[in-house]
Amino acid sequence: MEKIVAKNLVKKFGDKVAVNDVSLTVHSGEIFGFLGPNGAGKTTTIRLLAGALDTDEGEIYICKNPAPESEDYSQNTPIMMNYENDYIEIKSLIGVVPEEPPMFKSIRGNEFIRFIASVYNCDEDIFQRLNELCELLHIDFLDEFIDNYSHGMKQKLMLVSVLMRRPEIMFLDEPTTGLDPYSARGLKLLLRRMADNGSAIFLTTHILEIAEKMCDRLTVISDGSVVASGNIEQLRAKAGTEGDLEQIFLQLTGADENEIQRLVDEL
Amino acid sequence: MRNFITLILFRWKLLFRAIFKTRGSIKIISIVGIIAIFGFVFLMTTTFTSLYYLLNKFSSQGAAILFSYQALAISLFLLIQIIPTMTVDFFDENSYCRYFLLLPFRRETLVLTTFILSVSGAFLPVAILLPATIGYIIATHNIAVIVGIISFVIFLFGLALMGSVISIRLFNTATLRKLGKWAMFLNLLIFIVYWNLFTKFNFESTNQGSISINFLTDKLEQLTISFPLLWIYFSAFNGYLISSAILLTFGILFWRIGWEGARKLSFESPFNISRARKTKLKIETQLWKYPWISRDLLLFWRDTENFLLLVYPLIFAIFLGLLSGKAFIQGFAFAIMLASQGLMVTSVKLLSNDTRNSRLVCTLPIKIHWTVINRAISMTLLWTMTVIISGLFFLIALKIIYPLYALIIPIGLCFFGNSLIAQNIWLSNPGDESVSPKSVLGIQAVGYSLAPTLIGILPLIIIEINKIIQFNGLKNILFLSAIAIAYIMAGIYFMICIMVVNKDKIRKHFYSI
Repeated sequence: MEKIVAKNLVKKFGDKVAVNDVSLTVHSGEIFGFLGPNGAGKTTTIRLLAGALDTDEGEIYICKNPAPESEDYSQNTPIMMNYENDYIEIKSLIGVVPEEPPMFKSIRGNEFIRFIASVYNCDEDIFQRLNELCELLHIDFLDEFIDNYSHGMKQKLMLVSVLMRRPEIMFLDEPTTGLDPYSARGLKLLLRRMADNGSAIFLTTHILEIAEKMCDRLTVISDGSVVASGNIEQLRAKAGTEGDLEQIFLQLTGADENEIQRLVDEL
Repeated sequence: MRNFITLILFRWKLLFRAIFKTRGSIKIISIVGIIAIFGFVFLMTTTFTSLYYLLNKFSSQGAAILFSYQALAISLFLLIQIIPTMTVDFFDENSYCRYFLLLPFRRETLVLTTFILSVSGAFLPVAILLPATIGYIIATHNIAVIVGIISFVIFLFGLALMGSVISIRLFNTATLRKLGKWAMFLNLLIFIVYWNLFTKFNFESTNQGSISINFLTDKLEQLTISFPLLWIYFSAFNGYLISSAILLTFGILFWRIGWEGARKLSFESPFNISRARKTKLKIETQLWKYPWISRDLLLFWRDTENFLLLVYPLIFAIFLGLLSGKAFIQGFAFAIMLASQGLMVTSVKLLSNDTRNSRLVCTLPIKIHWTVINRAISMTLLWTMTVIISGLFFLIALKIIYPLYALIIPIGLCFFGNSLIAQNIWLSNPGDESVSPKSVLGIQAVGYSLAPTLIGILPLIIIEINKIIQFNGLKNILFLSAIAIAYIMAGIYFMICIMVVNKDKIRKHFYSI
């Protein structure tokens, strides 16, 4: 079942076209990898899809499961919502982990969690789940002020604030950045489990190994436009290479490996 | 040395970029402000110089006695302000200290530049210390006094540096923030006591001047009996070279200790060290009913400056209303005006938390304009409460029968409007987070604060006019009319503010950040 549907998205910042005619679909139970070089438009796309930025052109639909008693349910048709009409409902449904974990200063980790849980009007049993997540991600610093956190600690806090709600749809921008290997491993397993249970996960990463191992489907974006989309075999065919994802990525984004080697040799 | 100069210039540039990188009107206001500071220092210097000359006419020790009091107050003021400020600055992300540590700078250079920046940030004590010292040197024109003053300055700043280095080693930023809050409150009290003490003395005539000097001398003697070490401090200003030498020796020793301590600083907040022992996870499991308001209030109380802003209207109400000739109208007008300015500044400071984290806030299930409205509600409630409490002082202490509480609604409406306007001004200037809310609002905050002030004191003005021109029989009607006018004006002002700040504009501003 579709969870995220984007059609012909365009976003411009002045003269610069950050996202150019991007269309994609993410299904329930799927980890969708979104790859691209720096400045390719990954974060802008996530912000558009998460309703944190207005599109200049195109349409975005976030889908929810129909109620069991409805006709849509028997036909297995999702209810499509858009930000214009269903802003609050969509925001309640999704979870977003931005690339740079934004955090309020002068607030403790547990106060941040309490704020987020209150904003989403969560059940109080969420705190039981929070404890389990803290154990998984090795979090023992919630009593301290966020100002004192390292980048990795902020990232972990941001992740638990989203994961504790078990959202049906998640947008994760470089979620493993700053995480120690134990926490990163825990996170990867958890995301796989959540996808298997029906969540749709939209993920960007520069670590191609993660993308290769975790993602069911991938889209490669360059200069704001989609250059390839599909599973790893489809990308391989499109790139015309038998190599790993790194080679596929370099091929698809127009990078010349010989040129890189030459520049390294010159240094 | 070259590294030190490069670093201090670079950090100064970072600190003051808000002034030099902003647009036209704000830049002009800022430059006018700098000129005003220099003007203030010049004016204070001439005032102090003439005062010390005058005091020396009454008594040979007159100037020295007064300067001793001033030096003591300013020393306390400076130490209380600099030590927490420097420690917080040291660990602050925006000070880039940890980054500079990666570059070829010595640790003590970093500590010293942070110290100098903190001293330059302690404007008020420095702005009093500098003219007072120059004035005293001019008035006494004695080499031994100059030596004493130099020793005093070295001692004072040595003590501040040593204290700062020790506090960096001992406290974490969270503790320092709490201490800083109380330090500010203490500073305010010192300032009020100091100001109140000296406005009571009359030096205009020889007779009264001598009485005042004698009184101050007696008190100083009592103080040195209670704290004998203070004698060294005071006698150095009088030109006792032995005291100056002792002060200088200790000053150099403190600098040395501070310098050595700086070389061994770990540049890590003690929090990171204490984390080694695993703390038990404590999570408050009760949800907030109004999360946005609760969060804003939490952030409000965590900021030391907000606490000070909240106390100002109360202090001024007491100070002007009760101490300085029972000037009720002025006191109450000042309280409303300061409260309104405080409300605008704090509304913007809290909003800047959201604009800085707009990527998070935009993903949360709330329409952006509601975050602004929630903040306006919470700030209006808080600051209206301040006005009510400052009004209570008048009711209880002066037994003034004044229908203050009938005017709370119009004042509250104006406060709400001003909070919206302030947030709109901030949102219209997105981008540079280094610009402080105060500099963005600038003199506009004063202008907008006039609305609630005028509305709040309108019936009072009627009372005063009635005292001069007796409107027999019309008094109550006039008074009720004034209250009705206040309500109508507040309603109109509220509507104008709502129209200026509409939800589409807020959303557009927020999404463009």
